Amino acid sequence: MATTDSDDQELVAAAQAGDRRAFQTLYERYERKVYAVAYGFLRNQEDALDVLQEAFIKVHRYLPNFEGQSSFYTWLYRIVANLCIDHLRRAGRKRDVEFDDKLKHSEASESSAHLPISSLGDPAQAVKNKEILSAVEAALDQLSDKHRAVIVMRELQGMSYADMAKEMGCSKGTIMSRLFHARRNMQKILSTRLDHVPEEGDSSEAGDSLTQEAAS
Amino acid sequence: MMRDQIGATDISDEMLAAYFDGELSDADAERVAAAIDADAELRGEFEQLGLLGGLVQHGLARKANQVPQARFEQIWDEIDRAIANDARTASEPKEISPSIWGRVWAAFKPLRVPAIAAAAAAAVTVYVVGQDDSDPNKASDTVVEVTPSPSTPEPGNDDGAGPQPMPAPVTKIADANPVVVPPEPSELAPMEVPDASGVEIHNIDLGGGGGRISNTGTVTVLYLDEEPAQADSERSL
Amino acid sequence: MSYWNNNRNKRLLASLLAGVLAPTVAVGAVMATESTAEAATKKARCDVHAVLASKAGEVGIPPTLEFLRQQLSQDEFAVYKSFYLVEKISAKTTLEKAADFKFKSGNQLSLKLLGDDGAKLKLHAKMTSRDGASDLLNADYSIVPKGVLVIAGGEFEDGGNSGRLFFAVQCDRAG
Repeated sequence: MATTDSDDQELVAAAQAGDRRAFQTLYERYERKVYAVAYGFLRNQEDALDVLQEAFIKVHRYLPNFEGQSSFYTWLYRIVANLCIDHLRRAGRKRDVEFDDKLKHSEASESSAHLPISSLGDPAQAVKNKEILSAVEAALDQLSDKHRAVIVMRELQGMSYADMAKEMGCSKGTIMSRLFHARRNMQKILSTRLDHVPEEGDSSEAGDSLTQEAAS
Repeated sequence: MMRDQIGATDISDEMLAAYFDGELSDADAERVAAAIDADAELRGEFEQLGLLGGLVQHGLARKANQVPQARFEQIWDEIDRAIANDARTASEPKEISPSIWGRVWAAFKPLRVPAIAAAAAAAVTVYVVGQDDSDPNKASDTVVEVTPSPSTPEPGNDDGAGPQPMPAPVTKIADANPVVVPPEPSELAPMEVPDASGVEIHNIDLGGGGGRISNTGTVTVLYLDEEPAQADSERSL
Repeated sequence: MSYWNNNRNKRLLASLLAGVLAPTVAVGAVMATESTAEAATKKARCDVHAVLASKAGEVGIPPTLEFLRQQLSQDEFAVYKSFYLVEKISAKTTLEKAADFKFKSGNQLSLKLLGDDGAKLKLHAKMTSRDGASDLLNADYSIVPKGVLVIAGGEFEDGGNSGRLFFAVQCDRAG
């Protein structure tokens, strides 16, 4: 279902006036998008659903303060990103070492890496290839939390460098550099994983093993 | 750490990515666009960025589509409950309103006379028992108190441009979900502040834009920035 | 043989004693731990006074904020000529649950008791921006019971007066 900002604005205005059905429509419109973002950050279904729930409760509580200076989804995604970063930070207290992204990105970033575009065939088809998407899943799993956060904020939420910097509490320059490293890492991991990916339909075994790896 | 230049151009990887993300000035964007037209290697790098973005979007959308609709409906039920709970909490003081009493009054309409007689008898009983067993600690169960307005007189400032008298500040119990316990009447008075608070900050994260901590020894103030400027320090995840 | 028997008897006796005493010691230890835990603070009452500090007027410190005179008289607040109590909110927090404070300004503060070292209460404070989209503060801190921590928020207008909003946070043991 295509949505527009003006549709959202009408629903927001109705929800602000106490129309719960309008708020539910907003929820239904964004439930999977918010889940995808939260899952991108957190890599865990239950945690992502928790964030979805928390985000909409928060949105409802702050709805009277929302003046429409930004679009509803920009505001919603900022809340989601904030909750996810909070979630990661809380978890980070328990496992600090895993959150030091320097440990993870330095090696991969030094050498350039390219996605084997030619072997992936038509990009429009590539993004529908199950094996390739499973490899993307696995690659996201391998990224550090900080790298995953910038990738998700940029590619899924379309956030500007300035907004990302505000959200992560760092400078725009840091975001620029971090995003560069994150993409480079992702390309490197993907190119390794996709080196021997067969064309769609060539072999189901290869697909299964990749899926299993992604799930593990 | 700056990136290598790509191909024969002076366009760095980071600049190319910034162009892809729409973060360059018009002049720089034009320069990069021209370089992409002229350089096949740069064009390849640019396509890589587009492909990667598309893969991430589709990968996560696919993941979201694997979640059964029933789970999202379940989450909505939870949200709906929380909203209803919020609404109930917000309207609690209003519920002790004449309308409730009106409804009770209406429900008891056929029984008004006997009910009034019974109430009168009960009142007499309570009064008599109360006389025998008066306990000063049995204070009334005040839950919310509205403190009087700080009616500080305006000292000789009659120019009309001075500050307005404040509306009565409201003392209330927190209206959120957690352990909201009605305060004892004695708790409505402010706490007596000790000479030194001895505040020790162990961990602090002053949001995206920062702020500062001021400690004079007598008072510690955490200054927050509602509309933060660009921060140099990084907020750790 | 008698030496062996003697030793064996000693070992037997020791294991018997251990068998009898160990549960006693364990029970004693558990009881001691429980009583210590009972003595520890599990609940705190927190008061937050939202104070509007204005550079205009000559109101000074009103009677409702008299208890904060020592703090508000510091150089830190010298630039402000008038203080107004906007609202006071009280709530209790436990080791398990935070207390949330929603202010007129839209800011929301969450306070959670983390512990008590006997001299100071340890708390976690989290404050969100007025639109709830971002956190302005996340901090763990220790403070003497009833001590004041002041959180300075943004500009605010209330009842025709405008200035900067300050939140005076105090917590005390409540069981």
